[in-house]
Amino acid sequence: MKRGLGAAMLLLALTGCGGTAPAASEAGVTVTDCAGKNVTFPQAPRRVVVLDGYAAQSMVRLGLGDRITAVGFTKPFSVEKGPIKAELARLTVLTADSMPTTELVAAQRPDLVLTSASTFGGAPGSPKESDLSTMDAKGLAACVPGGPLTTLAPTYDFLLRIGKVFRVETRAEQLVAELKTREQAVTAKAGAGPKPTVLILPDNPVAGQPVPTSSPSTIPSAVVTAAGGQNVFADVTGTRVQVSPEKIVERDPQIIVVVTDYSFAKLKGQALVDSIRANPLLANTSAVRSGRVLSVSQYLTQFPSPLNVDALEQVAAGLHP
Amino acid sequence: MSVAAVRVRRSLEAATVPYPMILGVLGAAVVVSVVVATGIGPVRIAAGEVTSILLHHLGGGGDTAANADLIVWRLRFPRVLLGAVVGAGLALAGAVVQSVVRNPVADPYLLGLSSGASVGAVAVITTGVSALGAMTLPVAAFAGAAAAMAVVLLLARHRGRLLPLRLILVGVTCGHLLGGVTSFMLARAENSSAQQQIIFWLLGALSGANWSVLGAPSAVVVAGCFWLLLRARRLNVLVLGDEASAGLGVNASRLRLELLLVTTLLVGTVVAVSGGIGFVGLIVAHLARMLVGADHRRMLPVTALLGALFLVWADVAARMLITPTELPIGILTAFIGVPFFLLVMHARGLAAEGSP
Repeated sequence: MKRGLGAAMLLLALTGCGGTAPAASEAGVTVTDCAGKNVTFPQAPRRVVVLDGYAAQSMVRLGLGDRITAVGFTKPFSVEKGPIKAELARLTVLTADSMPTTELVAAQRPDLVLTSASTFGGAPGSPKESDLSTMDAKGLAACVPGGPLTTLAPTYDFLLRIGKVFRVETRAEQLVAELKTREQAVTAKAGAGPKPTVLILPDNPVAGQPVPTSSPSTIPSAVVTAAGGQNVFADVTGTRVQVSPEKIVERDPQIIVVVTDYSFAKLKGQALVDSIRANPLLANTSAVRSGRVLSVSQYLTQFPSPLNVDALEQVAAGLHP
Repeated sequence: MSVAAVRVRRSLEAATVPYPMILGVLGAAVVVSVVVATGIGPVRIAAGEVTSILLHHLGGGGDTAANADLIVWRLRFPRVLLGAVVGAGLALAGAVVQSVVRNPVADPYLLGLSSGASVGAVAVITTGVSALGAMTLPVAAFAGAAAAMAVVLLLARHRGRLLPLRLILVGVTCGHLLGGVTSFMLARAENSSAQQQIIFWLLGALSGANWSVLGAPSAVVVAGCFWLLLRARRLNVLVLGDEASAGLGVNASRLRLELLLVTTLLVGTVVAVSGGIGFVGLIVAHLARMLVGADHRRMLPVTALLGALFLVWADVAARMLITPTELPIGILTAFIGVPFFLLVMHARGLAAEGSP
């Protein structure tokens, strides 16, 4: 254990040196934010408050853990199995269960506030763009374009923009290339075979109520599509859309992918999957009758993060056993 | 009757003391509350430091690099002040609408004003238009409220007259339609952050306040308050009904139109920065009437002060109740407002109130 930690730290030190050394010739870099506006960074940010664990994973995977002053919503760390787990555990946590509020962020005096959500201020009390300018911090968010997604492009885009802002483009490109190779391996394998229809469920449907599902413009749907499935509700727009239970019966999904660990779901993990298998509303679908109910944690799929590719491999393995 | 209710009744009976004293006590309470509320927040800052920062700035001092300065002066104090301004504005607007439509359960939202503002704001959030930069959202919200009011006024006019019952019916109907439009846009929102933003906006919030958003609503609320005080005597007449008004030389329809335009301005600017904070407009005016009676000359200033006081403390609770997370303030206005209102009503007896 100790040796592993030492190795991780050594690795970190090496990548840290390799990535951030060329500070001498720093010129301002400009990236576009999610609204299409240009944001200029005269130098690489030094004090970064990361609002959520998804974005913290991206930072640490890019060797930028030492720039993180504090982090909020650390629940996504629970699914991390890679070598960065120890480093994630060492980060200063502002609020573990939610995004930190404006004052807590301001008290850290950040020069950059980072989030994997696509806008600031979405969570109650979390800093808005106007708050960021009040505290003289820049903001960087992961952008999800809004139309149907079939690849993990938003994830790669976010990693590359972080890389550019911190002047670690090479490392970001390497990481993206690595992730893309894994994605392509999955899509190549899935491409030839049949494309089963998939119903994505964030919670157990309740009789008499519309059923929430993930629309084609979300990362969970992108994961299912890239893994060689087709979202059975590929024709709906919006994000957290609700569909009629009748439509589920009519479209008869061959596979159900349960996205677990959402805060609004009463049951977590396997318990949720079991309750969905036993739900009479879904009992007649091909998916339940053939027992093909898979699950993947929202911490792997909800927002852009390197772990999206883990989710992709996990779902692909379930779709094409 | 509970012990607490008896105590409140005694204190209220005692409060039939001079009006200037009530006004003075409430005014002082607002000032003290603003200072105390600025001292309370998720980041703990010593009371002495808070006062010295406030004194430093109020004495003309500039921003310093200290953390506490950033939090107290640039983040928290503008938010507390915005709470006071928004509270006063909504409470005043509620009082006026109740008198205009002569209905005690009326509030600024009854006439479709807030629904209109919501449609404007949500349209901006979902389409991502940002033609006017940071001002896009407030301007769209105000435009929505104004457009809704214009439609309601147009439809409610009957043979050149503006009648209360027609106003309520048309307002409620239009409000419902606009509410439906908002829900539809919410369901179709293309990204989840926008969805979250919309929900929080609909419930109302004072987060995101800073000095630059404080100017417009403050100016409008102060100016609106003075204008209403000038019209207070005629408002008293309006409550008596159209015939009585005509007999006393007041053109009721015309006065209603003027008052509603001012209300739109008040609600539009306030809702544009704070979202739809409910309940304040409905309840504060009643509290004021219970305290000082229904004469608008007396109750309007008390309404404004009570509204400010109420929202400042509701926001403190919103920030602190489940710290470090924040609650939408609309939840708190209900949690604090309802028991308080029922207590006062019970103690005072609603019959004693001269309802509009």
